[in-house]
Amino acid sequence: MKKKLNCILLIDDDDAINFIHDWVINKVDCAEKVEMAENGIEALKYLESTSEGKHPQPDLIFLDINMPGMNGWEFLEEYHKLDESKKGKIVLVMLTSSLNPDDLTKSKNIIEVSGFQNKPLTVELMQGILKEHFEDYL
Amino acid sequence: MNKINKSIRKRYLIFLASIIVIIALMLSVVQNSINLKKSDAHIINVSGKQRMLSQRITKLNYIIKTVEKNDSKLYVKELKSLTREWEDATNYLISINEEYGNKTIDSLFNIIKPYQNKILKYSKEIINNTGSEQVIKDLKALESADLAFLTTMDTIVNEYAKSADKKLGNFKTILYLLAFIVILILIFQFFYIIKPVYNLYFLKNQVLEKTNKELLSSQEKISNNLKELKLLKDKIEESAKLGKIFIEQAPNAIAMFDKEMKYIAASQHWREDYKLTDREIIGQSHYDIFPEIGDDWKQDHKECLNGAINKCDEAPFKRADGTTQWLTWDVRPWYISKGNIGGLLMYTADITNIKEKDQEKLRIEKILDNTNEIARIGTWEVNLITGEVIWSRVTREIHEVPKDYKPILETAINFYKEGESRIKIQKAISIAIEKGTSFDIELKLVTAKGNIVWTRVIGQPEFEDDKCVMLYGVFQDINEIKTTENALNFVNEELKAILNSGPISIIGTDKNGLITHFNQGAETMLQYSAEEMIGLQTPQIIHLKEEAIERGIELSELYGRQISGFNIFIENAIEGESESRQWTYVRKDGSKFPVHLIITALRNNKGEITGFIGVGTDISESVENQKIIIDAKNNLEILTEKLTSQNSQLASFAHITSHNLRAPVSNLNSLLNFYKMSETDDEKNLLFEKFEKVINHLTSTLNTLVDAIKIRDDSSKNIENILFKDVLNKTKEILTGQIIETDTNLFGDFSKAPSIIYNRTYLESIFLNLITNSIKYRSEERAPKIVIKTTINNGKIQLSITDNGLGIDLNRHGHKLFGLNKTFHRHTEAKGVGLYLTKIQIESMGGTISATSKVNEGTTFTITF
Repeated sequence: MKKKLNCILLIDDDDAINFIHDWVINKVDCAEKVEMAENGIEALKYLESTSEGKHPQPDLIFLDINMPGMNGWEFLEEYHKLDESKKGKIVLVMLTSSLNPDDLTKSKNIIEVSGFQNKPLTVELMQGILKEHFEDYL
Repeated sequence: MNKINKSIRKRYLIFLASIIVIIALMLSVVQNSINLKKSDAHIINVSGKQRMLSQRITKLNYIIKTVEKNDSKLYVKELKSLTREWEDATNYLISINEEYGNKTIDSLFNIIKPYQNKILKYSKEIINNTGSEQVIKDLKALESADLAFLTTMDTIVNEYAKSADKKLGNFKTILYLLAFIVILILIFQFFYIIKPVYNLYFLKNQVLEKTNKELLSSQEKISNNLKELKLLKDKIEESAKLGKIFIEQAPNAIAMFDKEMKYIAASQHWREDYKLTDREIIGQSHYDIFPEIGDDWKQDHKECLNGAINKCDEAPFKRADGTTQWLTWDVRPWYISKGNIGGLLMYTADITNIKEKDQEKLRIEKILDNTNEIARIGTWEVNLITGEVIWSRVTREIHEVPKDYKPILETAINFYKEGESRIKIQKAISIAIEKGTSFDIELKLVTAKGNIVWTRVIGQPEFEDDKCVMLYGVFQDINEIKTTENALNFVNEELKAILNSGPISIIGTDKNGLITHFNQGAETMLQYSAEEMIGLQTPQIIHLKEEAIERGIELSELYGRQISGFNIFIENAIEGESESRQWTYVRKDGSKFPVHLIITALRNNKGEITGFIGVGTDISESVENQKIIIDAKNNLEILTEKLTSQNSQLASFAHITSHNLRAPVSNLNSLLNFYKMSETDDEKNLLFEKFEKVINHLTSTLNTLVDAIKIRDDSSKNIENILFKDVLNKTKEILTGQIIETDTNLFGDFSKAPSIIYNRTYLESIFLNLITNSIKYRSEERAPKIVIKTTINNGKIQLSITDNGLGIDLNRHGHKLFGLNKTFHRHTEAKGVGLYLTKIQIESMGGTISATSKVNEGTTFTITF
């Protein structure tokens, strides 16, 4: 019986993408819970919320760059200021199809970012991520 | 004294011992003689008793013969005991005599013996045979024997007496001898012990007496001395007091120390010199007061305390506060008495001032010397009374005479070149002597080696009682200066000739712009004469004013500060080497012509600007051709700019397009995959809904893009004259709902530029987008206020739309302000298309849009049409 991730947080303004990612995660069946946020602000709100005195601290965060309201970079700035007790375990930046090399360079300089993925996720990609960051869970 | 005592004691002991010996000896002799006398008396007694005994025995014998037999028995008994006593005594005497050794007595005893024996025999017979006949017969014999015995015994007694007398004599002799010996010893001892002791004590006594006397006299002396001492002490105290006063009030820095280098006294001067006036130093250690005193000085002080004298004419004393005092000093010991040092006397003088002056003087002298050497300046003086002439070293060197050369007035003057120079100097000297006028003249001199040099002679007379007694002055070799001056003059002339030839305008100015040079070429070209210009005008008069102003604005922008007036022409020349550019000159009659002008800054050898020079060439002919070329070039540049801009817009458009289209398309792909894999109808329905959403999004994106592309196509079409007021009114109509809802105030001010020739649709779109934008990003804290204004700037109409909304952090978002699909506010309505479209529209009509903003204060968009 393999272990499941407690919680995965999806941050993307594109409803369709969130739907697809949720679908993929369900297919891989690797998480107890999938949370979605439309932009950075919503995501921060979720991270700062408490249930039974605990912050959700998702195991995995997928972050989109291009979002209205608070974009990915702005979110990372705020995220950096958060208490360790509020941060998630792994943050993955979702590189959009823009293929902008500047974005890649920029994200490499942010310590909270653990890696990059192209959008949209597929089952194979998701399995790869689990293998890389959550070996115990496979 | 001890020694003597010792020997005397020894002698005294010997004396005592000998007296004891003598007494013992005498006692023993006396005892001996008493013993002897005793024994002699005993013997004599015994001998006398023998006589008595023999008589009694005879008598008894007689009685016994005569008495009856019965009575006789008692007598016999007595006879028996007497006989025995007699016999014992005889034996005793004989035995004694054996010891005694007296031969006479021995022979007497031998004589006596038969008689005694006869008596004894007879007595025994009587005892044994009492009453026999025989006894009577023998009685007679007995009588005779007894008589003989008695006689002999008497002799023996006599003999004994004689012997005792003899012994007594001997004893006496011995006694005398002893007494003699004692006397001898006493005499001897008197000389040997008592005399010397006596002598000794006598002597001692004498000495004591003498000492006593001396003591008395010395006591007197002491008391005298004490008196003197007291006087002396008083004197010393007085003098010490004076000494202290002397030291304390001495007019120079002097201090007195004890052996521990503690202050005993110090002059006021000392306290002032060492800045000690505000503290008590008496009794304190010099080293505590001056911790900066080094070990070398301490060593010097030690030596002085041992009698050395330490003097120094000048030495630096580094004070603890960092200053340096120059000191001269004399440190020496003072003596309590001869050879007994009481401490140190320290005299110092602060010669810092003198020293500094000295050093200053030395420095100045040195500088003067160096200066003289470099400037080739010497001195001279003439004593008019003695006729003595003194030349300094440099003066001699200029004259090229040997070092030991001794000039006199006549020969000195003869060094000046015959003719003008000599006449001049003679005249100057005579005027100086007569009227007291000093002189400063330049003269030619023929040196001792025959070289001709230019010299400058400055002379100053000195008067005493209205009579000139001395002339003195300086003497300078100015040959080089003079030669250079001549050469310069020559070059100057040469330059002038060059500058004045040819149709080139050369204008020189000082650093403030005042014309200092205006050559013939300039005169010809500009119709002004040099006289009109030099010292009166700046080059601004010959430049076209507008051109200068324009250039001034350009330069001001370039350097970021106000540049105007003459500086417009020289700014670049100051900054760089020289400036070469085209200007328009204006002639005196007002006609203009283009010149190519090179302006150069003139600098001295220190690099400081002393003036400027402008060299201008008339380029009227070449300018016409150039103009055509430049126009063509400018057109080309504008075209290129347009093309570049369009190019970059296209690139950006392509990028945006790919970005915006790719996402929904890839989403569609994913969904399609899911759809294929999905097994239930529910899933399929869900996915289908998503398909719809994504496709709607894609459609809207495509429409926006199509709009943007459209703008590009028909930008230049449908141009008409539009009133801004009309456009604002139309916008208000469209946004009525929002305006009422948000309580927005809109103000329009189009007085400066009421209308514009533009594409109406675009202008309406621009108004709509920007005003919507302002309302959208209003501040919740205040009612929106939007001001729309037109102005004319540089001949172009500008439209500004200012709001009091949230504002944008332009530092963070400025670069993507007008990008597609980029929004900057956490605002649900923000989609970021409006500004992009606005920008595209404005740029397609050849205008620009920019924004200024302050977060939480508001934003101003400025459109330049």
